[in-house]
Amino acid sequence: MYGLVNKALKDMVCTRFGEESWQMVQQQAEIDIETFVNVESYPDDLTHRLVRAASQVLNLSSSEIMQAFGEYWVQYTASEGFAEIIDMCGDNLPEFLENLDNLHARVGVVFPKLQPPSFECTDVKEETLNLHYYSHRQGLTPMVFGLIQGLGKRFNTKVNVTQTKSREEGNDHDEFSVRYRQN
Amino acid sequence: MISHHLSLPPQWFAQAFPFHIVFNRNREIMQVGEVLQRISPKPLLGSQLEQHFRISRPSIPVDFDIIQKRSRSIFLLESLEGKMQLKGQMMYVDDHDAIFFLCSLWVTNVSDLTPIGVKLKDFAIHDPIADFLFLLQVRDTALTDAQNLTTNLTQKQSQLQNVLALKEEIAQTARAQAQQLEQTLRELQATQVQLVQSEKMSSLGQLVAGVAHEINNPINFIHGNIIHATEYTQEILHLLELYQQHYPTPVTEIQAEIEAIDLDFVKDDLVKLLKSMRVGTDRIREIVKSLRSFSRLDEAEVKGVDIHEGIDSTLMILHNRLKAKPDHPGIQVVKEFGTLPLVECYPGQLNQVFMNLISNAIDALDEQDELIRPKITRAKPSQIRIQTRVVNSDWIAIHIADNGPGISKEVQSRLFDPFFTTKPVGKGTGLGLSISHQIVVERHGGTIRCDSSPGEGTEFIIEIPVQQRRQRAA
Repeated sequence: MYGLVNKALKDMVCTRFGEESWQMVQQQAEIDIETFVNVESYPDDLTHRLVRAASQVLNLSSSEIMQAFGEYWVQYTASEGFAEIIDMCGDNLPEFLENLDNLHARVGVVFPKLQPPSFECTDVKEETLNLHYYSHRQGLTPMVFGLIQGLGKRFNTKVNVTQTKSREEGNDHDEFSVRYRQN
Repeated sequence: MISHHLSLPPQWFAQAFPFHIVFNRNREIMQVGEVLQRISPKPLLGSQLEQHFRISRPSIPVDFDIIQKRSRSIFLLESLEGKMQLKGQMMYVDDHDAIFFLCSLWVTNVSDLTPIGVKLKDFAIHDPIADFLFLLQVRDTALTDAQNLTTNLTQKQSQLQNVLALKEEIAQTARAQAQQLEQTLRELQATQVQLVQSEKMSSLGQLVAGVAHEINNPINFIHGNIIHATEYTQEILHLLELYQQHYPTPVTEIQAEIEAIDLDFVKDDLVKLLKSMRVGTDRIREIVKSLRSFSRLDEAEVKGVDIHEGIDSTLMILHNRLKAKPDHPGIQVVKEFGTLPLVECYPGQLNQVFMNLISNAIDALDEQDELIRPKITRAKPSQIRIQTRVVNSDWIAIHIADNGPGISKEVQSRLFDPFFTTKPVGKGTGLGLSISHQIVVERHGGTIRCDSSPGEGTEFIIEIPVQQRRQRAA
């Protein structure tokens, strides 16, 4: 994964739990990298180790960490200079989610090593849609929950997310039922 | 050649080119892409192209025929009503006798889209401008990232340099302190050894003075009595002669005794024996005098003394090493004493200096003699020349020179260092010249220097003031 992801994880831990906690996470993960470079590609295993270590140090499940990280990811990427891109992708939550796959496709064009996930919206209605999540990576599904929550906050929309299909149950992708209402 | 006989239905064409313009030979705009129409400040349809745009590239006027000929050119149209630019190509369609400007919005910054009122979704999906904008955004964030990293690295470098400078400073301080400690330690060791040496010399001086004092009285009365004994012996011998003259034929028993003791030999030898004893006591008295003069224990204070007396007493003590022996050729001492005033000094200490310098000279000459004899006979015998002179009314000088092997410049530079010696282990302490330097320079405010070169002999020159300043206390 690109350094931006690891950097966001570090930023989240430092902001919410303090620098000392991050030092412990790094120590636990046996990773001695002080600064991650945004567009540098790092092994996926490094990110997984950091998440596992954060789970141990912060006494949270990996799922909770990833969900929190998904929510944090929206505000972090905006703060790192991608706010305008996010804004350009839609004026409201369903519009953004419909453009989410294009956004990731363009990310994949720019970051060829990234292999970003793919999204599809179906059954888009006034207050509901089904979001399909395709990824070759395991363990990041909880992040999608957080991501939708984070987007809900950004677009001032109340969101309720339910997972309706899971790869763990033998499906080829995860599927979420998203209910939303603009505040 | 591939035959293209299919075309997009108009609604898909409009979706594929949301910013396109179609104008006729009169440059009247006949069709406009949906997004372009939406973001244009004024309605475009039915108006003249040049009312809304100018061609910034290529450099041609808004002329249908001229434009028609540039179907291979990149066209940049700049809005006259805002900062919007359109980039694309002009395609003449003879069926309609019209030109299609197939274009897209041209921006180089995502933030330029907001004022125009365009979102990413307004671009055709195939339009690479969206990817280009995304790439620009990534480039900007990467640059910011790189700048942050550079700032971070610069700070760290600065911190590192500070730490290194501090480390160097600490190292320098430590080195200086170590050198100072080493110097102090050397000085302490030297002082300690000098104190021990000084104490030894003092004890030796006391011993010498004590022995000299104890010998002095008995030798004086022996010496005095020998004079009387000689007189009495001569008187008795004279009386004996008178007897022999007046009684030439003694009784048998006396005659037998005369023969038994060999009276003639006794009379002759007794005189010689007394003379010899007189010479012996004279010699003992001279040695005692020299020993007392050399030790000068009773003279702890600075006082005016005869420097020559000190030199002579030293030579007397060293007499045994100077004189010729069966296996030793002897060293000639040449004294060139000038007329010196009494010099204020610590005589015992100065004698120690003379002893050190003359002993060193003897050692050097002995070493030289051992090396060259008996292979060749030296044309010039071993010699120590001692010269004294007045430098001026305030200073006198003593030169002690030998015609030995001389000293190299390298050795000369370390001569007065404590513990430095060229003698074999056990023969020299390396303190003689160091102590001499201290006595002359520190105790007497004088100077001592060495003038030598290999093969040319060695000369030490001591210069001391005639009068000592009061503050240079013992």
